[in-house]
Amino acid sequence: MIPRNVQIAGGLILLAVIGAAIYGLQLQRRDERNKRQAAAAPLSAENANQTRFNATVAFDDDGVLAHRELSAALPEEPSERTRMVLRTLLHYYTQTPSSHPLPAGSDVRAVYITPDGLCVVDLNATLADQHRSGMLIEQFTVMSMLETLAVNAPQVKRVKLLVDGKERASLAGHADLAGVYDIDQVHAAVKEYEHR
Amino acid sequence: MRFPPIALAFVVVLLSGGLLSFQNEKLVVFGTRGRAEAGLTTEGGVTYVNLGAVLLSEAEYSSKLVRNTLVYEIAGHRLEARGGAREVRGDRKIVRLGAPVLLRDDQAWVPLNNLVDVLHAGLNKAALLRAGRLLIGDAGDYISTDFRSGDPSTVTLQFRDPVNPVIDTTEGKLTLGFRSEPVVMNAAKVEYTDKTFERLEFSESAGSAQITFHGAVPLIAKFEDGNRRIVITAAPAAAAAALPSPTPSPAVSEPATEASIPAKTEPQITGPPDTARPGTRTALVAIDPAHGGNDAGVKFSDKLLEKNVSLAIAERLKAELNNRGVSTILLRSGDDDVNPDDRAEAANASHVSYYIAIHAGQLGSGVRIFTPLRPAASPSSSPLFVAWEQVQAGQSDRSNRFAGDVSSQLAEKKVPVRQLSGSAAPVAHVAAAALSIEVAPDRNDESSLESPAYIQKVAQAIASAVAQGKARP
Repeated sequence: MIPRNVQIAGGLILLAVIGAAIYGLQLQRRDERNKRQAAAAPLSAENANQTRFNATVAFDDDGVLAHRELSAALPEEPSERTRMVLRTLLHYYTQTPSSHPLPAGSDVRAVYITPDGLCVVDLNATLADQHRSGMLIEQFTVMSMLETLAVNAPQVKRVKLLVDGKERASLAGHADLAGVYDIDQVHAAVKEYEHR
Repeated sequence: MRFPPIALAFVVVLLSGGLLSFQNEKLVVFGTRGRAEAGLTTEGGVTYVNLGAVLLSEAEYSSKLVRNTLVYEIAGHRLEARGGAREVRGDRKIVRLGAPVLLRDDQAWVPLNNLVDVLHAGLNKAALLRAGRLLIGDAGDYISTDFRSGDPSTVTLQFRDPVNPVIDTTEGKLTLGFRSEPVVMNAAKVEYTDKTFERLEFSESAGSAQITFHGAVPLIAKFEDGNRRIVITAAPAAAAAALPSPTPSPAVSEPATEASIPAKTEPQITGPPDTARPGTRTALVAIDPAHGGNDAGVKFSDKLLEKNVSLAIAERLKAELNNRGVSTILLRSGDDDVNPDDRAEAANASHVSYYIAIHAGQLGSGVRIFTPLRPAASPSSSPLFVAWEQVQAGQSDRSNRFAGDVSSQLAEKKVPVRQLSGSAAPVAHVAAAALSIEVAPDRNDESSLESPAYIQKVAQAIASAVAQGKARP
């Protein structure tokens, strides 16, 4: 015969376990809902402190670059502002589904803009090491970043891309990162990518 | 309040006119569940199709309107179409649309031109849009034809499924009309050199397909194998009049396929040796098969690697160039790791006229030709010395002209081609007309990258472009 106090304690524990399970399920659903909403509305500018900006976005299936509006809270300082613009673009690509999937965790470590118009962008190793390989695929990433950067930081005339603070020959075996990109050349090249 | 009858009639006419103009044409859809019709409409010069009606041909679906977004749940897949948006979201893909989504009567209408991509994103199924017909997945019944010369001659059409065409005969012509069957033929026209048959024509219009036989004599159709086979032959009275053909001689003008490409279409010229011979040559071409060794490049599958595809194309290109009397230097001939700078140095040391980097890649089909982007000028540029990273800058015009020549040759061979600016290591360091050529699969079939016919077609086009450039004054 189980004592009454043990029965009551057991019942309470059982209720607590059931309650915790229900609460856990609710938390999981809320988390999934939040993730879905975030993925579904990457282009929205609902928050008052967010600024809309123009981005050049790659669409793999169509094989084109196209203009889209993204939004983010952009700082005033030009280097930090440019870094946030690029981070938002990369974040857009890392969502699921994506028009041009990039590795999860892709990020911009730092951006420096010098008075003579040179912009140095330091990408993290995740972006380069786990990037899909291919001429067109890699050109899409580079052109998308460079054009988005240039449109939002018109003082920039040249761009040097680094990976983890170091020079690198290519992004993932193809797109050249060794040289310094001339923004006028990039503007002209991007037009070729806008149409098939 | 009374509504004047004339005003009521006016409203009715307006409404009915609006409805008629909104949904006045149909797309015939053949899917897993059979034949269905989806409404078409034109707005702003763009033809739209009712997406829900198309999906219904594949499976039952549920849909719900969340704010301005219509969400379809179909066969475990999810598809989101937001009114006014120029994209549709599938499980794993976003499809970019040429015109914004229309939401009408709780249905999403998407541009007809983007429908195939939308179905691929939403159902993970390929689809084929033909004249007024959409064939989803394996719905298409690709028929085969078998001509046998005799007394009388016969043409046998073999179908996958039973068919029940409408038959129309006039003098010397027999037409089979397929309205309910997803009948497809790869050839639009087949010509015969025969006493009974002159030619066969396949056409599609308004959601149906027609096969028309033109004969020198009246023709009849016989159904066999439970309507899976139709044999066309001369009508009995005409058969007696038809003379027997001496030899089986069908002259089939079907579209060129890979298998039909001749092994060699150019004259066989013994090529010069694979070495640089300064003073004796007119052109030396560096062929750079990208990647190698531990650097596999693009991994199409466990067995299909870019480094092997690029080498196969490069070796074929070398042979094609040698056949045209052009000397070549192959910058990688085995599965070796070759540093990009070493490749550039080897090309520059040989004073090559052309440098061609061969890549293979995913996304789309056909060939992409990349001309080097001119790098930013170095602040310390000197008129006496050319910086290592600036050596390609002086070659821009030649590289662009070379790219144009290659594009033209590929287009002549019906290979989809795209010319873009973009640099891949080490092209920026090569002092010659330089291109990076990325060969993508033929018709999205990655196995084509191993097809000798496809490789040869691409290699011949590039080689012809070099020969064209070499001949230019």
